[in-house]
Amino acid sequence: MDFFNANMKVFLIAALSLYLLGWLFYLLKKKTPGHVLFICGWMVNMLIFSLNWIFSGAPPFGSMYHVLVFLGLCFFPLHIILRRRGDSGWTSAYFAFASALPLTGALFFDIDLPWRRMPALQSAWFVPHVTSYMVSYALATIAFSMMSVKFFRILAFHEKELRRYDEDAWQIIRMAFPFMTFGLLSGALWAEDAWGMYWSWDPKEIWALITWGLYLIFLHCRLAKAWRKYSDIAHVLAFAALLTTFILVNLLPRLSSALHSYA
Amino acid sequence: MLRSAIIIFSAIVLFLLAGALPIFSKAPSIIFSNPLFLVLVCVLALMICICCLRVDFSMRRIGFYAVHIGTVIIIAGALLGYFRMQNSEFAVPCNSEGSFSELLLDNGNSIKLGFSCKVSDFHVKFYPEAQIPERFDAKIQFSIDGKVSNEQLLMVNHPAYFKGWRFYLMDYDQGSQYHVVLFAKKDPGRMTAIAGIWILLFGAFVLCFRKNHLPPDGGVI
Repeated sequence: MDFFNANMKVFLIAALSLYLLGWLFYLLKKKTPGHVLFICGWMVNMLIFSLNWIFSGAPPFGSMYHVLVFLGLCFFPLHIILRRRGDSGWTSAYFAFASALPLTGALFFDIDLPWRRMPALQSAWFVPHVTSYMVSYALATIAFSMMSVKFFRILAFHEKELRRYDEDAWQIIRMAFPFMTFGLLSGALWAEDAWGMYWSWDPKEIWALITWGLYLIFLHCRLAKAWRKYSDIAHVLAFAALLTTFILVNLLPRLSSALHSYA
Repeated sequence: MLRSAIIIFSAIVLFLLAGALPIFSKAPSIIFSNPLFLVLVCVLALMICICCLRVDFSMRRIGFYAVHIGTVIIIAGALLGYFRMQNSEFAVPCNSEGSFSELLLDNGNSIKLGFSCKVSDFHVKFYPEAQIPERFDAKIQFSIDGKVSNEQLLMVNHPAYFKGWRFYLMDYDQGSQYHVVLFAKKDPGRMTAIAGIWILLFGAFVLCFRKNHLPPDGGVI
């Protein structure tokens, strides 16, 4: 076990390298080696997650490092589900690249941080709350990457027939939204059980509500013909709010959250 | 109607942003209790109701109705709680000595509970080699006219309920372990808000998991 603990960063680098290699093969239109590398990367990622669980003795969601490792794990199963739902085979490159991003972030956090679950975290809501948020964040990252590539192709190559980006990003946000809603509302139900208030206007809570509201505006703008042109702006703002909720609220002392100081 | 709802909702998001940015520390308490914010939330609830009434009823739209009606029910429950909730946070001895039947509410008024409570059998368990509590709990006993009526275990994430009041174990005296900190509340909007939460969740999963293509020229799905 000491060997694994000492080499955790090596495993992290191995997993993210496999993801990035898979992405490169997808870009070169070589799907089979791309799939193999993506699956190998996911298996190493799963090994890191399992070791984190063994070392902490509880579901490993106790620090940004733990959560980022879990986020990296979410993309591959979501890609399989989306492929089974429809024609999303062309999105493999996005999923492989996005899987590497959280693992890159995890390298910068302290992996030896001892974690002991405080009483408030010992709730049945803990795992579903974090899991649903990670699923929604993973899907939102894919949708935002698609939109970024769409704009890059419009600006760089003056392409016009890019409806598949809009269509698939729309389907992915629609799939992300109920998980984000569950994360938000399960947090409220949990807070009601733990502290007697389902809403405390804590910075993390407010930013989570802003993120949810901006994605709601995006979905409604998509449905109103006259407002369709604003939907991309709403999408960019929503993803910026998501990054603030997930990362900045925890890292910037002035935005810090008292009730969510542990993650 | 959809456009007006987007404008109102955008205004609410701007209010949230003003409360979230660290301009000054008391911003959230000032902004979110501002009458204008409450009026905006009420207008949004009204517009959602009108929107639901305008759409022809069909079982295919069950998800649409559930998310919108669920949101209105949550707002109704939250407003009911905001105006009518009675709550108090207080320290009480945890060795059976202190019994209380009256609370000093957070708004300065005091209220008679109609029963008396006392806390006993406080235990705290620490993680090995660390002064971090793994678990702490106590027993809370409710009596009416001197007769013990009910006894419940009180721990974090496990509140006690008696005669419309909910009691939460918040903290304890980490020095001498002489007292615990309790939070007590009577919230008439709680069940309404929780019902709204489950209805909204049901609707969100039904609505978003149904395959629907992006409409080419706008229009409500």
